[in-house]
Amino acid sequence: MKKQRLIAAAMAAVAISGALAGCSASGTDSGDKVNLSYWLWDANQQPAYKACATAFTKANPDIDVTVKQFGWDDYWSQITTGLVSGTAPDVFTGHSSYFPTFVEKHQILPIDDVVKADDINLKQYETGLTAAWTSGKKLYGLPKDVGLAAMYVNSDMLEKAGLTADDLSNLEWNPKDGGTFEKTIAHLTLDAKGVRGDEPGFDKSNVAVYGLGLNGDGGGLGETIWGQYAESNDWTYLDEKGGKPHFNYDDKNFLDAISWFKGLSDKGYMPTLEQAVSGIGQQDSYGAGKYAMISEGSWSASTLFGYKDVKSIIAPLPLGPSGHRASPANGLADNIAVTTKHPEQSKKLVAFLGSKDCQSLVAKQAVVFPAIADLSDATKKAYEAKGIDISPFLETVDKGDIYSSPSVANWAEVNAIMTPAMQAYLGGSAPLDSFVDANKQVNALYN
Amino acid sequence: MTSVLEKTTLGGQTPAAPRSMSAADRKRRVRRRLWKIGAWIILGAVLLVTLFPFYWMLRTSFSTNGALPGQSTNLLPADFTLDAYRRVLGLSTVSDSLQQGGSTASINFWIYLRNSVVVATVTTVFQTLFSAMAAYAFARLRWPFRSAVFALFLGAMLVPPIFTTLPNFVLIRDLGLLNTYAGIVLPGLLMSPFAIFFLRQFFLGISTEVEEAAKIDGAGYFRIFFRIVVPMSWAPISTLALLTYIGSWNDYFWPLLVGQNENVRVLTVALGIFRAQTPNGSPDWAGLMAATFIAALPVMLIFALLGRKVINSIGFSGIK
Repeated sequence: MKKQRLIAAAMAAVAISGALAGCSASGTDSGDKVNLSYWLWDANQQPAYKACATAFTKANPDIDVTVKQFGWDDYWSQITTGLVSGTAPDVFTGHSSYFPTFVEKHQILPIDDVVKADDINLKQYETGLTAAWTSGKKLYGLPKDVGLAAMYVNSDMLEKAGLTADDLSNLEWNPKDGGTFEKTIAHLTLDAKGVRGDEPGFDKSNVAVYGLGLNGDGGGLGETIWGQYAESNDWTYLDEKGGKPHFNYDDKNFLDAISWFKGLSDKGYMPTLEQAVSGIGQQDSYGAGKYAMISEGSWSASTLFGYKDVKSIIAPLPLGPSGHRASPANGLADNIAVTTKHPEQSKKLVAFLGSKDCQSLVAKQAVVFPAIADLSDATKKAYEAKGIDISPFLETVDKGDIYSSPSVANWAEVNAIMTPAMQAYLGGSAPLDSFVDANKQVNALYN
Repeated sequence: MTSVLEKTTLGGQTPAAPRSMSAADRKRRVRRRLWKIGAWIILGAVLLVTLFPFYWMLRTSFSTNGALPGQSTNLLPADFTLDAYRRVLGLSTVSDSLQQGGSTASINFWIYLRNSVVVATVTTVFQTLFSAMAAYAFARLRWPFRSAVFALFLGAMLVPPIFTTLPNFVLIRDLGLLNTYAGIVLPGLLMSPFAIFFLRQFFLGISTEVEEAAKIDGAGYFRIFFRIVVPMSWAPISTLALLTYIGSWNDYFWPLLVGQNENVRVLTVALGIFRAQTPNGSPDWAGLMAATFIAALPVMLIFALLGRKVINSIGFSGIK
């Protein structure tokens, strides 16, 4: 028996060591060459950044860059796990919703030293973008791209309604009667019998095509959903009061804008929140011909123009009571993880990725709009080659009709309060003044 | 029975009583046939409902992404194309993929397939072997605290896997085994509570006479186990191996955490790139469906080959 036990123990040891021996060794740096890892989530941008990585290695032969891509659903869990375990990438694409938390917890490195050393001109980027990546007077990333919003319109439905693209170029909305914007939406809405929204006999309980699509509740931000209406009604998300942020969700202009927005659902021109979130998203519904117009971001242009059965044109957002349009202008930037073993080389990489050399390669791919203002012509040409006219986006930027999303600490908590409040109001289960209470809760976070 | 009765009636002459009986019999026969038809219809409907999602998956995998929303009611592929399969197998160029509205990430399909096979095979072989030995120890050997330890093992079944994920991850990282095959297979390599429980039940059912006879002949525990018990339990052991292989092949979250490098990334993780790339974007549907189909294909083949064994062993009562 003892002998058998010995044999058993030996077998176990052999088995385990066999498994261990079968493992492949992890890569090691050979000599002086530094290997940086760079992560991003958008596979469509991967070719552009691979080209940038090759160009960077050409200019800096002792630094290799490996570009890895993870889908959005996996990306952030990978990053946060990596930051905890020390296996995070050296440089990664950051997002404004995660930026405040990373800064608060000291997970990313500031890049002011390399900006000074390389004399990087921060004014070359579109207005407001660098501010979104600054915290406590330190800059944590160079703006890479800018995301703007506009209306995508089904051109066949436009023609059938007897309208042209010019008719859409100067629409106005107001909280009282919706202005020419609401009239256009109503005219594009068709019920199951073919009656338009502005004709008598329109049956709002049996709509076949909605004039305006809805992409969900939008939480506290409402980017591309209701943000453009609230901001063009002389309203801002927050003010600085005594060094602390003070949110304005109880402001009359906000409440007027939101109640007009919900009114579109009540009149049958826009789906209800319940309809919008059940089933497929706004983009696919548009591709299926269920929405005549949707407000979406510039980052979706390739997808929306890729639908086979829908021909689209881009129209600008409507002018608001303030006399201006209000497009969100948010951008991504590359952040350096604090766990990096090569901070100096990482900063070099970030500087390069934010430079014109790299961004002009990105512009050629026509997937996103680069943040550098001078590249807008090159971007326009690249998109035209794909059959997409992005002038409505660029006009907003040129006129300065843009706003940035709030960049404050505890934004996740703000969103956690505003999301149920917005869902309840748009879903019809809470009255308009529930926002007053929600705003009190939000501001209590900062006191 | 009705037909036999009718056949035994002589010379075609049917007296009055048998005539009314045959009318009732005819009614019974018709009703039975209706029942049969009804049963077949219900069976057909259930089959349709069960198999339709797989057909839809196939149909979407042969479609073009841009045409999908507009042809949602079309039962045939929307704009038939083999592009999705080309993307999955890594045969498509980046510019083609962009044009098709699909994911542009490059896929080294055969390497990922190899990694999946290695991980699944190693896990299955070791887990089955060691779990069988443990199950035998619990079933047949007598040792102090045996039932307490068994209860402990069973208790381990109640722990949701997510609780052990982070401690395992930290341990694997500290051992320096991240991005290695060892790191992926180690946590589940030696046993799984379900496997031990499953096999112990079968081993309990094996008659003790054969083992006692072997003991009298001087066989040790290992010989009894490998020469007698295992050959008698091939059906449950192969069932367990099959289930373990399928489970380990489909495992996504743990290999995602631990196996990132190209040389150890498994197929399920690699095909995750077909999920949504951007926060508001939609997944590369055709590519995703093609990828799912290809990832499920080896498992379906194994099931087709060994499925009969599974069915047989489920009906195995343990009594010989």
